[in-house]
Amino acid sequence: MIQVENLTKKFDTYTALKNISCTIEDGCIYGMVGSNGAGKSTFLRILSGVYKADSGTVTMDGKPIYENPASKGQIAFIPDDLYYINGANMDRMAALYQSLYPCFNREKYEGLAKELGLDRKKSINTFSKGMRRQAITILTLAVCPKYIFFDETFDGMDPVVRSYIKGLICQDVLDRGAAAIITSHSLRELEDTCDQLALLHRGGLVLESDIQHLKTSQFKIQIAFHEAYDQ
Amino acid sequence: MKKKWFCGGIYSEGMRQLRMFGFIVSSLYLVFLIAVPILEYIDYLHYVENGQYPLAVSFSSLMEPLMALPIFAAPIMALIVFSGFNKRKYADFYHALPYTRICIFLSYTASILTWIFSVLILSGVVNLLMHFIFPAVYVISFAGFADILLSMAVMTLMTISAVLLGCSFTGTLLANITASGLILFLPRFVIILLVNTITAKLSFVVEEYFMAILSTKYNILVDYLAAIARFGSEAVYPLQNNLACDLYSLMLALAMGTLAAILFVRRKSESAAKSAPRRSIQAGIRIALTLTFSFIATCMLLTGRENLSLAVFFYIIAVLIYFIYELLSTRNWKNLLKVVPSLGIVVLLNLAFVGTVSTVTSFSAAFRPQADEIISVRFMIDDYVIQYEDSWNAVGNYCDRQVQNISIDDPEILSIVANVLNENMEKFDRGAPYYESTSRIVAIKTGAITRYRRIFLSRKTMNTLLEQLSQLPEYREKYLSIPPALSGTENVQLGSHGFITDQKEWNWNAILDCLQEEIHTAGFETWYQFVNADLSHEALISYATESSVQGLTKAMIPLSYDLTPKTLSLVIKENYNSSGTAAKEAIQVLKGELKLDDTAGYSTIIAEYSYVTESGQRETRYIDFTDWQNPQISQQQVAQMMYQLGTQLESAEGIPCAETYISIYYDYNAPINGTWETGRNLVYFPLPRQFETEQLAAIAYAYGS
Repeated sequence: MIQVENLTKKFDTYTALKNISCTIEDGCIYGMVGSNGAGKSTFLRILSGVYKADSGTVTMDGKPIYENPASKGQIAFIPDDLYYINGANMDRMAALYQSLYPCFNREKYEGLAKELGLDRKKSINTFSKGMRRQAITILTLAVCPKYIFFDETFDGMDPVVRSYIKGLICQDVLDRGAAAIITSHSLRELEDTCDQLALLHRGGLVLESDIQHLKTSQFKIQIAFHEAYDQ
Repeated sequence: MKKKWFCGGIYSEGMRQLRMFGFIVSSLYLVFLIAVPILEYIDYLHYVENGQYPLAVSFSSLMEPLMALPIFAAPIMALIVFSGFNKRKYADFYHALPYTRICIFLSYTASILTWIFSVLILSGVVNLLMHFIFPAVYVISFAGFADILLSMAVMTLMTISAVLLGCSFTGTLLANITASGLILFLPRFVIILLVNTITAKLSFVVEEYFMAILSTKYNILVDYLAAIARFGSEAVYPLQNNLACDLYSLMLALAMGTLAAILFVRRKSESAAKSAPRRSIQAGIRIALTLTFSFIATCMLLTGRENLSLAVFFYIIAVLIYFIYELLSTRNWKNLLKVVPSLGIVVLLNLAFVGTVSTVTSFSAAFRPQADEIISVRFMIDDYVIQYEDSWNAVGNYCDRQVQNISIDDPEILSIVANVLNENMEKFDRGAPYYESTSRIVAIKTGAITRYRRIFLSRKTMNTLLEQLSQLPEYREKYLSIPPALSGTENVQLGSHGFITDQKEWNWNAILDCLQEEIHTAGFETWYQFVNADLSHEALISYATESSVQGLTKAMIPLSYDLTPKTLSLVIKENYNSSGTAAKEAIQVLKGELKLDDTAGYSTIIAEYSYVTESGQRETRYIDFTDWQNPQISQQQVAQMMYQLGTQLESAEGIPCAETYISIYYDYNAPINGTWETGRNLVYFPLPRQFETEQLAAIAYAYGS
C-alpha cells in the first residue's frame, strides 16, 4: 500500500502539489485525471522516487520511497517523455532493463513484443510515437513490479493496442496483486479500467473516490430551453 | 548493500556508452606508441649504415601527445557519461531505478576510470614492449617512467573529478564545462595573479618560496599546462619530479571527487536542462567567470600605470563575458537587466583583491629583523630565475644546491644579512632603487618562522660575505666538493650550441676527478665568484643528483679555460672521439681532402669562430663551406687552422685562449626521407692564444657579417 500524506512540492516559487493526501491499496488500479499543469506527472515522479517532496510523507508499506532501493525495486514508472538509448533497438533496451532490474522477465518481454508485432531488432528511433510507447510499456511490464505508474501512456496508442495494454494491466493486478496508477486528461480513458479515481486541479486534490460511487452519486443534467432565458 | 554502492548494470552501461570514444583513444595511442619506435628504428639503420651517430627517442620525448589522455580524453569521457543527466528523461529514468544516487555515481565513475586506466596501463605495457624490442632507439629511464605514469594518473583523476563536480550542480553542457574549468583552474589562477602581483611590487620577496604550499608546482596539472605555455614540448620536466606534489594533487582530486559525490546525491532531478539549480549558483558561476578577466586587469593596474589601456580592455572583456554567459546559459534577454546589480559583487571582489595585495605587501615589507633577532640563515639557489629562462635545461649550479641546507649562525654573517636587508628596505620605503649587481636568496629564520628574501649586495659587501663564508669549514668544503658521477650525468653543453645528450660512454670518473682537483686548486673565493658570475661559460656539465623525495634532479657545473683547463680539454677530447665518422669526414672537407658531395649526406658544414678584438669586443663569424664561391685561399687558411688544431688536440698541450673558439656544426639532409635533420655541434676547438693575430683578423674582415 502506498500512503501519501500532506504532500507538497514546489519548483522555485511555483507550487506544483499542495497538501495531497491519498492511499493506493494493493491490487488497485488508481486513475488520476486533471488538466494540463495539474500536477499529475509531478505526483507520479514523487511516488517513483525521482523527485523529493518538500513536505509531507510518501511511504510504501510504511517505508519511505525516496533513495530507498528496496521500495523503488517494487516500482516501475513509464513517464510521458520516454527514455531510450539513442540508436538502440528493443533487445538492447531489454538487455539494459535486465541488468538493472533483477526481476526482469525475458520470456514475458519476448512474448509481448511478438503479440504486438514489434520488430525487436529495429532501432527504436525508427518507430512511430505509438510504437515507442508500446515498446517501453512492454519493457516496463516485463519488469513485473508490484506498482506500475503510467503517465499519460495511452496517448498516441491506437484503440486496439490501448485495450490490449489495459488487459495486461488487469491481468497483472489479478495474477500478482499488482497496483497501477494511470494518469490521463480523459476520464473516459480511465473509467472502464480504474477502480479508484482522483481529480487533480492546480496542485490540489479536488476529488477522490471509488469509480462506482462516482458514477452513481454524481449526475449531469443537461436542460434545453425553447427561448433565451433571461434572468 | 549491493544496491547502495555499486551496480554492475549501470557500470556496464557506462562502459558501453564510452565504448566508441574509448576505442578511438586506445587506437590512436597504440598506433602512435608502436609506430614511433619502428620509424625511429628505420632511421637508425640508415644512420648506422652511414657511420653517423643516431639519437635515441626517449619515453619522455613522446609525452606531448600522451598528455592528451589526462587533459582531453579523461574529461571528455566524464562529460559523455554525466552530461546525460542534463536531459530530463535521462535523469528521470536513472533516478527512478532501484538504486541509490551514490550507487549511480560510483558505478558510472568506475566505468570512466576503467577505460582511462586501461588506456594508461596499455600505454605503459606497449612502451615497455617497444623498449625491449628496439632498445637502441627507444630509451626508457625506469625511474622517470614510473614518475611520469604516476603523474599522468593523478592528473587524470584531477580532470575527471573536476568535471564530475561541475556536472553535479549544473544542468547544461555549457554550464558543465564552464563550472568544471573554473573549479580546475580558477583557484590557482587567482593565486598566481596574487603572488605575481606581490612579487612584482616587491623584488625582495621570492616567488618560489612565497606561500610555499600554494606554489604552482603542487598542482601538477596547472604546473604542466603553465610549462607548456612557456616551453612547448619540453615541459615534461615537472612530471618527473616530486612525490610531494603528486600526493598533494591526488588529495585535491579526491577532495573534488568526494564533493562531487555529495552534490550528485543532493542534486534534484528537476535541475536537468537548467544551467544552475538556483539563481545564486548561476550568479556564482557568472561572477567567477568574470573575475578571471577582471583580476587580470586589476593586476595590470597594480603593477604599473603604463598598463592602463590594456587593463581597461580586460575590464571591458570581463563585463562582456558577464552578460554573454548569462545570455547563452539562460537564453533570456530579460535576465541581462536583472543581473546588472550583481556586477557590484565583481567590483567588491576586485577591491578585496587590491586589499589583499596591499595587506600582504605591507606585511612583507615590515619584515626587517636585526642581527640579534636572526637565529640562522641559509643561502638558497635561485631556482625561479634559472627555471624560467628560455630553456628547461638550465637548472641552477650544483654548488649552490649543495650548500643551501647548511644553516649558518655566524654572527658576522647574520649581521651582514640583516644590514643589507634593512638597507634594501630603507631604499624601498623611499622609493629609491635598491637593485645591485649581485643578489642572493636567503632563508632567514627568526623564531619558529623562516622567511625567504632576496637581498641585493654591492660587490664590496659580496666580497666581505665570501670572506666570512670561506671561514666556515662545512660550507667551504661542500662548495668545493663534487661527488662521483651518477647515472644521468650525461649532458654537456659546449659553447652556444645546446646540450649534447649522448655521452654515456664517456670516462666521467676521470673528468670529474680532474674537475675536483682543479676546483680545489682554484680555491673557494675564486670558484664561488666563477659559478655565480652572470657570464656565459665555455661549457657546462649537467650533473645528476638524487634525493628520495624529488628523485633524479640535475644541476650544472660550469667549466672554463682559465679555471678548469684540463677538465675542459678532457671534455673536448671525449666529444671529438665520440663524434665518429661524421666528425672525421667534416674535418676532411675542411682540409679540402673530401668534397661535400662525396660525404654521407651533409648539405651544409659551417665553421663558426669567435674572437676578441683589440677593443675588447667579442665577435663571431661564420664560414659556410657549402658556398663554393669563397676564394680558395681562405678555405686553405681555415684548413690550416683545423690541421694545427687537430694536432694540438692530440697532444693536449698548452692552455688555449678562453675567449676564442671555433666550432663546426652541420645540417644533414637524410636521403631516405628527404627531411632536414639538424646535426649537432660536431667539433669544438678552442683556439690557442697565438691565433688572436692579424691572421685571424684578416679572415674575419674578409668574410664580414
